[in-house]
Amino acid sequence: MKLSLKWLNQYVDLKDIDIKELANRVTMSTCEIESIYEVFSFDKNLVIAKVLECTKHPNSDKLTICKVDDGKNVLQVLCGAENVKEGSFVVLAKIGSKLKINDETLTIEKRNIRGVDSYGMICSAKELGLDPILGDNGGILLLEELPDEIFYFANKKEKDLSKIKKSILKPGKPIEELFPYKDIVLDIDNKSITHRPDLWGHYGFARELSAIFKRKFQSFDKKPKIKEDPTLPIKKIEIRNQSALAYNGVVCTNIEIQPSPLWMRILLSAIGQKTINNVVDISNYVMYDLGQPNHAFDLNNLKSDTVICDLSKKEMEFTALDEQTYKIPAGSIIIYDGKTPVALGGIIGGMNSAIKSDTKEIFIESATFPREFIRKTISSTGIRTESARRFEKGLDPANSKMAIYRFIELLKESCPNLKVGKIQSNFTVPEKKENTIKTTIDFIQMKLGFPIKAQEIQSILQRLYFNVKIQKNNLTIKVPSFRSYYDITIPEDIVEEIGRIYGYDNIQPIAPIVEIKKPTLPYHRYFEREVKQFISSYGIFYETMNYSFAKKEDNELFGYDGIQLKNPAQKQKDRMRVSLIPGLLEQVYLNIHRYEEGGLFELDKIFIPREKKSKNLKENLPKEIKKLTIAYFTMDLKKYKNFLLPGDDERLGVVLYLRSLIENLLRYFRIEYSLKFPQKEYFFLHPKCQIEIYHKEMLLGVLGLLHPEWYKKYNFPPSKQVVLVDMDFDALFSVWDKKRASKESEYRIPSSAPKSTFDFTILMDKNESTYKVIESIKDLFSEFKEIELIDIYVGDPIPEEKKSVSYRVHCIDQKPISSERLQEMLDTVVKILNDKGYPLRM
Amino acid sequence: MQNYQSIKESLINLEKEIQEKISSIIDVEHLKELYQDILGKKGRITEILKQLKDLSPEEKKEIGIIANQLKDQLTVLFKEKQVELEKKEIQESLQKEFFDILRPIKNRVGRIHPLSQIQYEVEDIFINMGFQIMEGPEVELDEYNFGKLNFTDDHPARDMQDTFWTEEGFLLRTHTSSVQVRAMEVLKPPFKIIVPGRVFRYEETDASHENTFYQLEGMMVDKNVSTANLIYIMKTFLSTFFEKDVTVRLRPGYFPFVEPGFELDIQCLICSGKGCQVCKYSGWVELLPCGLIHPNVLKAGGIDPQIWTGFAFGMGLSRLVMMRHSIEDIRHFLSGNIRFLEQF
Repeated sequence: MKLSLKWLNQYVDLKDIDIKELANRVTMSTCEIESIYEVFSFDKNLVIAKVLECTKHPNSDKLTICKVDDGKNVLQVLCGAENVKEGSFVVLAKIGSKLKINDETLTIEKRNIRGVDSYGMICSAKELGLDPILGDNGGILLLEELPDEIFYFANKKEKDLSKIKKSILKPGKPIEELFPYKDIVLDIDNKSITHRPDLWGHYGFARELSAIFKRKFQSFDKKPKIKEDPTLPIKKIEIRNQSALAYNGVVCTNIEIQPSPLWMRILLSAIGQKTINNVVDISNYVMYDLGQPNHAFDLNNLKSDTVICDLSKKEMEFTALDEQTYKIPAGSIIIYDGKTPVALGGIIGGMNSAIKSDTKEIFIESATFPREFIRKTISSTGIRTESARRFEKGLDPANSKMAIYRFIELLKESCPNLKVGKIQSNFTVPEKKENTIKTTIDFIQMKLGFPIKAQEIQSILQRLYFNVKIQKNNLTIKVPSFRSYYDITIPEDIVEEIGRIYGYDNIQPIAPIVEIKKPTLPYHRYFEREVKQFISSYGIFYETMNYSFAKKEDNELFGYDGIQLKNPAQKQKDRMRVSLIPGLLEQVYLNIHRYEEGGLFELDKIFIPREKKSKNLKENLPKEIKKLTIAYFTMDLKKYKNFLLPGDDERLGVVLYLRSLIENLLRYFRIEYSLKFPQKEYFFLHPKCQIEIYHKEMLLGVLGLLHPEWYKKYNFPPSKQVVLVDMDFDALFSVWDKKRASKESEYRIPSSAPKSTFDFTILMDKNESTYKVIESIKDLFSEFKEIELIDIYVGDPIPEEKKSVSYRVHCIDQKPISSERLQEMLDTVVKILNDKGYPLRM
Repeated sequence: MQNYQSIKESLINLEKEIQEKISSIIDVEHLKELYQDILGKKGRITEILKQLKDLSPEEKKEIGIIANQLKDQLTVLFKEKQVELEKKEIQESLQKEFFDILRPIKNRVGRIHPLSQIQYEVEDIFINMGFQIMEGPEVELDEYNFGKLNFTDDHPARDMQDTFWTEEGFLLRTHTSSVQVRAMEVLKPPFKIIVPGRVFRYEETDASHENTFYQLEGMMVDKNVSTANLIYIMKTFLSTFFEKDVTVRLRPGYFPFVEPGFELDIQCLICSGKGCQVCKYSGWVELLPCGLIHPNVLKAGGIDPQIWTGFAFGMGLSRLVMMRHSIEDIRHFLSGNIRFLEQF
């Protein structure tokens, strides 16, 4: 919301306060100021000049070479406007002057256009930013032709127009003398005054400033004298269904539609409001002044003798004065002329009753509408007018009458023959509300945290127009009407008022005194942090983060439609993700061309919809599961060749590298695990290169080479290999043996006995997993520490479809293992393997 | 007698001879040969001592003492020489050896996301002040994100945060404050909690706006909690985090779930308040919205506001990371760009 400092000064004298200090105090006591800027302030190099001579530019049809007198020199200036003429007074931007045009600063320099030098520029109203006030004639400003009011405004003491003109229209005079409209605009952050409906106009804001700066406030407390003419028609007012808190209306005749007075145009233009005609401008002015929206109807279009304010029963169409037709939901406030809807109450007027250039009679409305109905309509239609913006905050009905008086008074200024009918008022609530709040000095001191004195409390509240009674520790506070709606309702609100005016900054920090409670250790976070540290220090694995949004098709692949967003940020990604994989692969794509190899991992939530709907809404929220997903890509398979044995597909190396990461991670956290071939294939992984990771019966995750078709899907180059790991992080955490409680984690006395080993070589099918052998013997003897694969051999004399695999079993026990025991173990192993179809190779 | 004298002399001569020989030896091999030659089983000392058999017991004893002394002396000499020669050998080989230890090697370490790093750092500070970590769902009910936080249905502040809605009528939490009432439902006062996490706003993205970002909510519920206490905790946190005394200012700020509500600004750390681009020439950076918990919110969480009071604060973690590293564009965080991630 924009505020004009000149406008504010009408109600509270702030002229001696430095603008920076003003802004600082407002920021510290009331609300945020987004920016402060000057309007209609002019560079000193913008001066009045007289055109002495005009000649055609020899090489241009459009340009005129002008000799102008700037008071000191005669300058040659080129002008492109058609209306330039000898003898005229114009605004000259001399060399070096700065003009702000459409937020860009233009510095005037000496120029040469088609062989002729130009020492400045003759300005139009638009170039000076004065077009909202003076209008735009399409050419340069011809000062002597400006309306008389411009000159009277420039010199308020002098009555004789020719004398004023003579004194002002002098070459060399700064144009500020002719256009003394300079103002400072404070742009208030709307969000920071959401809770202060009383601050949405200059009048209310000035009242706040008067409290901050302890200045006198020029209020409109007294009802102005308005002559009501009983001969004018009366519109009866009917409020139905509590659709308005107050509705005031009056008929006015002898309206002359014309531009509004210059002073009003200046103020409205300063805050960026377009000016139209006197009636519309007054309506806007009153809104920006008192913060009370109002509306003027053309009386000719109101046929009935009753104005009805009601809530719409069903959805309807409405054509507003912006010429747009809106779908209005049921329950919206509608102003009816008898049965015809003529306005969307509190939001926008109707096309059919808008003020026209020939309007002679009007009906003025100043009403207060309940914020809940306004909010409903604007959130469904999206019509956000200045009026609706104020009503949705919850306005004070007491203000509505004052607005109608102001409207009439201002109208009189431009329509001297105005006739005013009898003002009709209808209130569905008391005309003035006054909340009473009882609290104590102790409470205020406790909340603020320092011993503020009773007199100080009283003085602050009085400055804010509260009525205070102090009886020892007890305070009885009466809240003014303009702050009684929604704003000040509980003792905590009083604490805020005192604190902010006293200055929160004056409060000294004090350490709270608290009891020491039994700590709740964040094990989940410990685990998460250690897992991330482990992975990122294992190799070039970078933790990444991704959006929670996903495509429908991707979700469906992973088995769920997913939670659907009503208003997605991107149309194609309108679901909550059910897997981290698609997002992660998109990020891999960004990097895969830039790096030879690298890994990205993400530890975050997926959102699984509930199948069954419960009556308890809370239970219907999707299940949020934390996943740990890793994608690793590499171009250089040779780096992983130490994982390879004869006969291996060379892509296996990097897959085993990732497997070693996961197995080491699980070992590090003492998570007992086993690896299995999936019963059901994972569609995103290479069907021959995928394994599941289990803890007992619990599935922890899956690991494998990306499916060849998915390289195509994500446009990965065939030169790169991509390995994926997808783990259920919540499951992992649940089996983390953080206290070493499991049997496997039990402490054993370190054995001093030497380690024994035995080797054996068996034959197996070429395409069979070497793990099968390990799986069938690993739990045979408690002495078995590790089973190592030492060699694979294919070729003569091994049959074509077979491979010869050598294993070494490492054994350890508390006592040295005897050779008999070793032999016994070897024999058992050989027998069992033989039975399983893996004969010993001699 | 003759014999005795000659044996004694030969032992003495031997000592002189050996001393000279040892000093001229230049490698361990030759030293070992000499050692065998003199002190070995068939060495010259043994040979000399063989001649003792004809001597009287007294003479034997005397020669024996001399011979043993000589043996000890020579052993020391050999040992010393050996140490000296070995040292020399190592020195010589060290001179010849070469290692290309400054050869370029590939960086084989990854990184944790800067947002996680800062989150953990902030968590640690609050945990050390006795706060406890809590989490809550990201897809949330209106009542936890708005309703129970004193945003009534007709409250204009609902528009302060543009919200993502789901078809079922859930929403994506717009702030971590959504966990306030959830926490009150499970914890008994007094308590102090922090809630880090992901939040969502339905808005256009640009260099300083993202639809997905990170916040950290904090809340303390106890008896007689004051604004002065809130300022203390905030200042303590900030001076720990920034590792210097931070000047703060507290000014009014409006959030329906606190009363009174504040904005806590810190004096710009880049320009020390003189005004620069980072603080938009104001000298202050808005960092921590906070306030005393509104009695309606305590009530919604089943806590009696007549007995218990508290404060709450929220901070933008994404913002904090951007400040610390002077990151120019918030969109880097969720880009997955290794060129960004590898720097932290």
